[in-house]
Amino acid sequence: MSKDKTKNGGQSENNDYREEMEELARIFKEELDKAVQDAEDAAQIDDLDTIEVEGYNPKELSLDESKKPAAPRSEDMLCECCGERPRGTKKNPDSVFCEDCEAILEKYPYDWKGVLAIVVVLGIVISAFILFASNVPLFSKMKLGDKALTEKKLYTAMTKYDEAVSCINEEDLSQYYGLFAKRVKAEYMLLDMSTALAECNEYLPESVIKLPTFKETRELTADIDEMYASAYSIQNHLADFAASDYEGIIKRLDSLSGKKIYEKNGQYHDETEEDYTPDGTETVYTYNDGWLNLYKYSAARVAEKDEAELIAHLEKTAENSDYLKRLVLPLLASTCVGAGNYEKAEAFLEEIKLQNSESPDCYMIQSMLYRYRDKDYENGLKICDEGLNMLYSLTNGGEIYDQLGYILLTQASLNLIMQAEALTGSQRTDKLDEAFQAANQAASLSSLAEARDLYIILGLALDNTEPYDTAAEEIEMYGDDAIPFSDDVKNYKDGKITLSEIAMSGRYDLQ
Amino acid sequence: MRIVYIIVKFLTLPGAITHAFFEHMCCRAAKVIVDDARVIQANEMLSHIDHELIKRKGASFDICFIPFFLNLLLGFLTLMYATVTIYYFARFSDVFAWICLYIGISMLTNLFPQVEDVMMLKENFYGKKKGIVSKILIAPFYAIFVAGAYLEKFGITLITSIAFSFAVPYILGTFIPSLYKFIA
Repeated sequence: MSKDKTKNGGQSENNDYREEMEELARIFKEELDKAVQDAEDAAQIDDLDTIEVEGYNPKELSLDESKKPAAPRSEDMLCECCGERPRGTKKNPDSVFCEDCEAILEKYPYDWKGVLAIVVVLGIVISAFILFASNVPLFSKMKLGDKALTEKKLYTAMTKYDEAVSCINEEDLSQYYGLFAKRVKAEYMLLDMSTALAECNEYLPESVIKLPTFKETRELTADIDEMYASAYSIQNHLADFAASDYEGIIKRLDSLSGKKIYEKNGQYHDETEEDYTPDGTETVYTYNDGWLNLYKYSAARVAEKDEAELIAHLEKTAENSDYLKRLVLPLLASTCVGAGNYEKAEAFLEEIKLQNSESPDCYMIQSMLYRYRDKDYENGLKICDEGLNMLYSLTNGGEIYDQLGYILLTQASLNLIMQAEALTGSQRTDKLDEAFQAANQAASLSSLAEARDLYIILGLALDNTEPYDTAAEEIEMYGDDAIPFSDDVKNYKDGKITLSEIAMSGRYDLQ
Repeated sequence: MRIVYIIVKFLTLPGAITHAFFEHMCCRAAKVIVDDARVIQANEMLSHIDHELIKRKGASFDICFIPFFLNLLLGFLTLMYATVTIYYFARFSDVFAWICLYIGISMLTNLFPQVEDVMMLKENFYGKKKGIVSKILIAPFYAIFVAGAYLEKFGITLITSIAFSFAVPYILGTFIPSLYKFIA
């Protein structure tokens, strides 16, 4: 029932709507017709200005140009930034921006990432600069050391590197691989093989030496290792020989040439050992011919062979290695002076200067040339003083002076002996006393028997038996372990030899 | 080559950012309109600032020279410590020195202006009716900028800055020891 009711009610509502809509359509049509009729009437008027309306003047109603609303603009005439205002500024009429936008864009804000980066970078730059400034003394001393090393002023270089080490805190010392690589090189050039190797083992780990920048250090240490292997193995071979068995020694040394040495855990074996079989894990070296020849020279010297043979052995030694060449050049030069071959001695002297212009050997050879060739003892003494002063100032009177000063002190003593021999009376005694003082200093710096014996001889020359008695007591106390007096001491004591003969014998031109 | 350029720029980001910052600073000082001041963007504008054309000589030179000079100065100061510590002292355990080395190299890699900026400099100094004196004075800078801008465009400045870093201890060695001896 309710459904039918609803249905009948819905039909009556629809009829009402329809009637209302038809009424509206009729009114709309009437209004439209009226409007069309009005428009057609208006279109028939030809000139509006002819119509006179009271109180209406169209001219009065026209606006000023400036007051007219802006004509619509195309986009390319508007500011590129805001898109609203026209382009161009007073400063730049062609600008693509308006006045306001241009002012803003000129002060475009910084990107925060840029500001952050610049703050961090500036902090790092300032810290780096301060740290660099604190490293300037160390850097400068190392660089001065490098310069001296290049100029072959080896003692200056070593002193500068020592000063550089003193600039570093002890706990940080092991981190400065570059400094120790340079020190090792300087020590190697100064023929201080054992210190170079010890410093290398202490401060330069193997992993560091393997780096490309340490190529030179790697080569130096490999050279030192090989020389050590050769020297150690040669000594093992010669242990059974008597020092006087010159021929036997030479034969044995010749047999070792070209043979391989095997090193494992600090133990050395070589190819000549029949009961040793290498297992492939050893480090293999070859006998260094330079060392073999150096041992031949030592044997020849002990056997008191003539200078020509000594020079031949030394020249062969110098051929094989730069290290050994530096080592034997002073020996070659002094042997040549002793043999009267002064031209060759001078040539070797020049070579020594090229290797190390500060070498005390240069002063020693020059002093020998004055004494042997020129008989100019005054200049011989002068050059020794120069050398001693140079060595003292370069090394600040340190360890190096102690190690090398005795060479020049002995030379000074020998020159003073020769000067004294030309004098008489108190003048002679005074000169001999000066020589005695120099020999005393030399003996205190060196453990060589020659230095001690010269000191004793000069003591005896001045009727001072104290050095002789002290040495005699030591010899008695230590027996076979002590170094006995040389023939020169005995002969001088017995009056069989003169001081000038001793000074010119060449046995006291110490190395 | 664009990808090489962008890779190099990202590898040397600290230097790229500082260069862009200095360029922006110069734009502001010279009242040059900046269109985009983002310092990190993955395109050829990385390490540079997008700015309007410059018609003034001074502003054009400043925008090329000042970022170049400041990056060079800061980069060199940083490399002084880094290269002396790492290359010369061989003190490899110093982490700060490695950081300085990276920053120094990155700054030296991002020294030069954009090629467009250099062309603008050329137009401003070598265009029609320009004075001969300024042409002569600007010539060495222009030569450096144009060469550097093209090297940088192909990412070669990374190689040149690494090579230069190796030379720093030698350069310092020529005057620092004498200076130290003089002062000490």
